[in-house]
Amino acid sequence: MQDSTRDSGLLASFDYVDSAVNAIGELRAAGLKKITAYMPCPEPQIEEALGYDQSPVRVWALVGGLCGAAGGFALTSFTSMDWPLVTGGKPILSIPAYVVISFEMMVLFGVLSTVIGLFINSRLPYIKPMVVYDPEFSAGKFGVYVTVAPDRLDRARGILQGQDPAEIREDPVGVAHAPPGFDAESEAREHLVGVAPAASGFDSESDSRHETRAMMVENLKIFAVVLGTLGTFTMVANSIPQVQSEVPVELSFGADVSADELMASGELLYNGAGGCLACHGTGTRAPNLLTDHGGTGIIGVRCGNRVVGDECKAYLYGSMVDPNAYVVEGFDPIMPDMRRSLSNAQIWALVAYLESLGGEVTVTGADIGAGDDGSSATASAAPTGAAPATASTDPVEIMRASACLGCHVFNGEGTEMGPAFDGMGARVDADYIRVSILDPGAGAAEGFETFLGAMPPIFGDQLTASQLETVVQFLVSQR
Amino acid sequence: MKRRGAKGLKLFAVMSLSALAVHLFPEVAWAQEIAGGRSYGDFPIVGGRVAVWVAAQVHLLFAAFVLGVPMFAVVAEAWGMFGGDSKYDKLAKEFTRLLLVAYSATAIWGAILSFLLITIYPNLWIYLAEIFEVSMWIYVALFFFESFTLYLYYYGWDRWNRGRAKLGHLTLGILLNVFGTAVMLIANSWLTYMMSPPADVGPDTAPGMVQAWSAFANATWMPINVHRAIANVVFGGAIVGAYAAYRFLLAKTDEERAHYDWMGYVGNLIAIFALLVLPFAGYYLGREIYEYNQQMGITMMGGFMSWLWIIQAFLIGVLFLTGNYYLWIGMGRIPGAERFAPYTKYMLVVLIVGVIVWATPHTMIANREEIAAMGGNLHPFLGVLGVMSAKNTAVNIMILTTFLSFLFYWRANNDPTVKWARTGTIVQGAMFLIAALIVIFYGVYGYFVSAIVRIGFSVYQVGAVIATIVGVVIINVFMMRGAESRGAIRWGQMPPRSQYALFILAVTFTWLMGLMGFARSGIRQHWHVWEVVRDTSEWAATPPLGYAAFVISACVLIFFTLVAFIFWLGGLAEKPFVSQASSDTALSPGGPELAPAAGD
Repeated sequence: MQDSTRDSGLLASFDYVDSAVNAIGELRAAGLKKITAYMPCPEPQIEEALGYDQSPVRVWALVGGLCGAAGGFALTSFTSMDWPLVTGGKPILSIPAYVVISFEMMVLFGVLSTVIGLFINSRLPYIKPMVVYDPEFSAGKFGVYVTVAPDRLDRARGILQGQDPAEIREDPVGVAHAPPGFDAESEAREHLVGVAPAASGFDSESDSRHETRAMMVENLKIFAVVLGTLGTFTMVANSIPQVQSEVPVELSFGADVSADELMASGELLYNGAGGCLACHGTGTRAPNLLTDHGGTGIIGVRCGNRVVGDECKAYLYGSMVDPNAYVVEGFDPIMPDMRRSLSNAQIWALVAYLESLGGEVTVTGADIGAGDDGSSATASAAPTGAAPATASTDPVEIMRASACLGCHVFNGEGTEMGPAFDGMGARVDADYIRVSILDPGAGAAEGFETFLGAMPPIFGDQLTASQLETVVQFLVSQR
Repeated sequence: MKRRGAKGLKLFAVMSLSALAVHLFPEVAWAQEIAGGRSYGDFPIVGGRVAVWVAAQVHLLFAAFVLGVPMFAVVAEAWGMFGGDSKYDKLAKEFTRLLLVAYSATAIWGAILSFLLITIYPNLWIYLAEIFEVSMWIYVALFFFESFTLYLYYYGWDRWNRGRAKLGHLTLGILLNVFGTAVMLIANSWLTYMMSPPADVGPDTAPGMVQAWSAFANATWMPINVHRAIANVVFGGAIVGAYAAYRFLLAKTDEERAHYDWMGYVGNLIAIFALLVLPFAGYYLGREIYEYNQQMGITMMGGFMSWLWIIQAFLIGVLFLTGNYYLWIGMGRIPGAERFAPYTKYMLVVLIVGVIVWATPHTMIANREEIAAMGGNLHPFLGVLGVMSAKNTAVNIMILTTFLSFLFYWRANNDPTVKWARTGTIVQGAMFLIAALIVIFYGVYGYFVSAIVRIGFSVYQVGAVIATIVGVVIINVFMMRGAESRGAIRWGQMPPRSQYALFILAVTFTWLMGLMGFARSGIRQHWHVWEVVRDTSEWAATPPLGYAAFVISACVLIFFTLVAFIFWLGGLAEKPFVSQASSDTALSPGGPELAPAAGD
């Protein structure tokens, strides 16, 4: 017994295509749009009557072909660039030769995508059994199946009968007679079957396709907007001067390194990885080294006159390893210690290059070697030697030999740069003193923060264990 | 026999001692293998650096979304609770539904990033892990708490929607933000340590000797925290706006269109308002970078990365223009907004001029002939404009103009009824004028003072703009009390191009995030950890901007593809859209009384 609340189906069989077309037209005009048509051969009139648009498969073919062509050009171009073979002086990228491959790829991908599109749009293969289909529709008859609400059944029947069908069947093999396990509700939008669709707002297959197409078009527009925006930004970023940072190349010079070699390396560093131009390039943040400054001449000329008693290379080297010692008037002390980012050889190469600008290059391999050994040619450089300074076990002698008094004051002797040794035991304990000697970078005493980093971390290697402990205990005893 | 026995005993002793040594000193025994371990791995096709770059960027984009959305979701819920308007509560729930599906993606990409780091940069990973191991454990634990809180927050929404239970639910939302912010703070410490390690940490400092808190709270940590917290809100608003735009374009009914039009407006409002304060956070970050290391700061602004800021100016110009365009189009659906339409062309001119000034480069790469023609390294005209004095002035004027657009939008269909309305409007106009004059005055004055003084002037310019925004808003809130409406806002009656504007905004915000990530990482140049751990890989050089643009675009495309898929997933469980009634106000537009499906 038919469920009176469920939609019903009417299947009309026509001998002539015109009758079927007219029936479909009148049903749609009456608002009865849940129509499925069966035909023994493709009939454009029936498709038009159902409101079908042009097949979307052509879009698949176009897209596939274009992708194939693009892929063909990409394949040939990238492989040529990756393994360039010069043939008869022709350019590496020879477009005419690539046309053949691209054409073949276009055809291949176009065909494949057309077939795929055909299957997808036709919803093939059908895996659910078709309902309502009658074999006579493959033998010459035209079928029109319409799903209607029960209150409109008579109207639909009247329309169909008006076209003189060969037969009208009511709910012949519809929902009520579906095979076991057949879920009619889920069939609503999926196949060309005469099953009552769920309440989804889709009137017919063509309406569903309309909505799907509209959604696809909208998605494509959004995708185009996104791609267009990304493309614009990428294009703008690629249209400005492209600058890449330089990585400092490790330098290694022998004792007989030439001035030209040093200058060349120094110039590369100055203009690139050394980062010098960032501040010295414009002359506003730091003195411009490539031009005259205040009438004192270019750097190679003025460097020898900056500090009395310091020759040019000593001044230049000192400026890089202890930049705050020689701040030019009118500029802020912002230059970092270049030893944090450059090796000794790189620094000397820079010195040589700067010397060459208006002056004479006096840097030699010996300067570089001496710098590597720790005993620099410049007086301002901190000692970096690792060999024990003395074999003595007397704490004061050890401190003198290790040049501690070069920065610390003790008993009226020494230079006041770091904390005084006098009264140290009253301020700190042995552990603190020990850490300060072995790892001076761990922290600075209050009031001496600006000198953090000035004390070299060499004393762990330079002093023996007993010497270290002797000095620590001596300093702790100073109260 | 004795000799054999002695030999055997010796052999046994040697083997025993060896075994003992292996167990007591495994490092020595296995030193050969440790020493032979690789410093860097590789990744097929794109290389290790790009693989980590993409993973980090996509993870960050998702993370920004899941951290930003809860901030304004909680505010919307509170507004709905205490304002008695359930529309905002439903809106907050819809925001949170988006969050739920994106959260997993965030975690997945975080895992991808972690594994890529471990396999491609093993030594760096070991170094950082030794310093930050405790924070990493806390980070993982916080994920657990955050997930738990998020699920309770979302799934308990309808259950705890009245009285004290609702207050508890709101507290869950606040807690979600707390956990999320904590997660962000921890992650920020790792990357900022790489940029600005404490001064006492050097190449010879063993990781175990690095003080954990000093490394955690390094020089750029807090500036990045502030900058990212605000940027997350901006980004979250933009993505929500794009989601709403997508739903608007595919809406089948007028009610659905109206709801998503309103949602897009709210998302855009959040993004633009938060954007107004973002430059100040960025300026704070820039100052801290300069304070920490002048060389790094100068490299960033005046060195090989200086052109990046021109691209940023271009992008922000797009943001300002598009954001204002959306507001101006939106005024077409507000009755009474016609009276403000004549002003839009002047505002457009101001914005365009501002973008041009801001995008003007200072340093031109010129050959000798060009330098001779210009009479120097700097262009005689552009050289004047391409400095911070001009750029600060331009951006502050643009911010004022955008705020003016918003004020027009706010007042479009409302006529104030308070007695002091005219005076209040005059005061508002005067505030705008005074702020503009202050900005321009200090902009011009800055050309005649030293750099360090000029930098300080930006504080006055910013202060004037912020004071104007705050003051005008306060006056307007009081002025609009009891205002007469000229008509209902016709939510949903927006041309599709307005929604494409929201897409452009979202894409631009996302690209901008990628660009800033490149800037932050790039100023480290060939250092993993600045002046501490050198990058000795084949990818040590910072690539040029064009190359970076390709990678950034790829990241954005990946992100939006995944977001589209994730939102589609979230919509699978959504009930059909149901409308209830319609109502509107201007600032609290609300639009129709809507009960959007929320995937319950």
